Amino acid sequence: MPSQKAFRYSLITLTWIPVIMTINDNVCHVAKIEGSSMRPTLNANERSISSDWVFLWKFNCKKAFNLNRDDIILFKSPMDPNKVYCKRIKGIQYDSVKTRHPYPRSVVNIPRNHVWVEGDNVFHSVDSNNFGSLSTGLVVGKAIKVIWPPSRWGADLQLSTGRQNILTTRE
Amino acid sequence: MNSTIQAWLKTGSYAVRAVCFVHIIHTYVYEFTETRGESMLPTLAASNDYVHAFKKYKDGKNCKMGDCIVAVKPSDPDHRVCKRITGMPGDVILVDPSMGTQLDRLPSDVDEIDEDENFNTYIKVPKGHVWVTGDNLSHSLDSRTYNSLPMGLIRGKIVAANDFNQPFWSGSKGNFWGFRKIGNSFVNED
Amino acid sequence: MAPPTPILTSEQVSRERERVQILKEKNKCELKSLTQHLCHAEAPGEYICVPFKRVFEKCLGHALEVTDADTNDIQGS
Repeated sequence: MPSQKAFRYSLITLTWIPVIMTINDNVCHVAKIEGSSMRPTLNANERSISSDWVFLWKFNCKKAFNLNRDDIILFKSPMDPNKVYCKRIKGIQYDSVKTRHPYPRSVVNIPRNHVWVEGDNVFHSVDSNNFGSLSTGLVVGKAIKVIWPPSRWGADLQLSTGRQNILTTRE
Repeated sequence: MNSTIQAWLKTGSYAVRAVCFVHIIHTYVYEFTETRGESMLPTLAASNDYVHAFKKYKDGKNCKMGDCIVAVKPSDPDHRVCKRITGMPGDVILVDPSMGTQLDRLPSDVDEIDEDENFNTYIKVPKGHVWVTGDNLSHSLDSRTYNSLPMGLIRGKIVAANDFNQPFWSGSKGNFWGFRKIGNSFVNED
Repeated sequence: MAPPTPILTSEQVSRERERVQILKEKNKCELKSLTQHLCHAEAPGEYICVPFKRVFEKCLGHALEVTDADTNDIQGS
């Protein structure tokens, strides 16, 4: 009977949904970047209506040894767990970083398993200068490559922009 | 030969689907897991206690003051902690009122502790964070050390526990392996 | 690590207390408590726990802790 066959196939498809969810949660996924805080690296064109889509690598991304300076990461906002922010890592664990307004101290030592994140668009960014060092437990994934639109395929995500030379010696 | 490979592939695919299914349930619905440590005494024993956690409270959704939660440790994402929420965003709370009431302190020491300090060190819990402390204030690494906990690290709420040191059935109804509910400890005074 | 959280000055705390006092007069507050414990090991696996109560004045959704030295009578043990 064809209807029985259809039922069988839909049941089999159903059993694969958790597998896909697990891969999307723990291995890789795609994400849409909104807002201007990572300009000019992401969402480069001010007038363009289309947003960039990036390929996100998630496997082991919460491990401190996998997070390097100048990586672009997506993480759950510490100020609102329902929001996901995209920023560039400016300092890794045990680094000392020169902060800027509105952070209350001028130099901060980053504790174990934390990172310091800032947007490339320095003056339009809510980042570690607002909410402090970020626990790596909040990291959602690492942005590896722009996959959409095709005109942006060549974009170099590793090219560091934003504030430079903010590392300093430990106080 | 071909059929052996096929059989292995089939078994493998079933295994993958089963593991992923359990993983998704653990992440989004429910988890039953062991806890260790003295920090939640006397609510949870130091060893051999297993807790039931609901995951719909992930990311601190609908969590309230007094709830018992499981969260990722901010200083070590590989470890998880069970704690009690003792401050919600915007609350003004004392950092550590229990300081100076340590039981192992000699009575003669008590005079030396600046009580005003303990009962005057207030902080305001920031937006998107909760203040967590262990139920055993004497032996607990918590917000008093690592500051407020971002709600994004909350993995679930603990609703009940089992103690496998207890007999399977102790006689009273619905009490298997020391089953007990763990509720909200924030209650009305008077 | 959370954002740097300043210890409130006594001035800020007393302002908070005044706000609570005003709301209290309008019956918009609830007195709530949360009991935690101070435990220490007598023998391996055996613990003695002493309750430690914390008291909060909850007004319009926000709590202000009002625990003080008298709440648990720490001297009279």
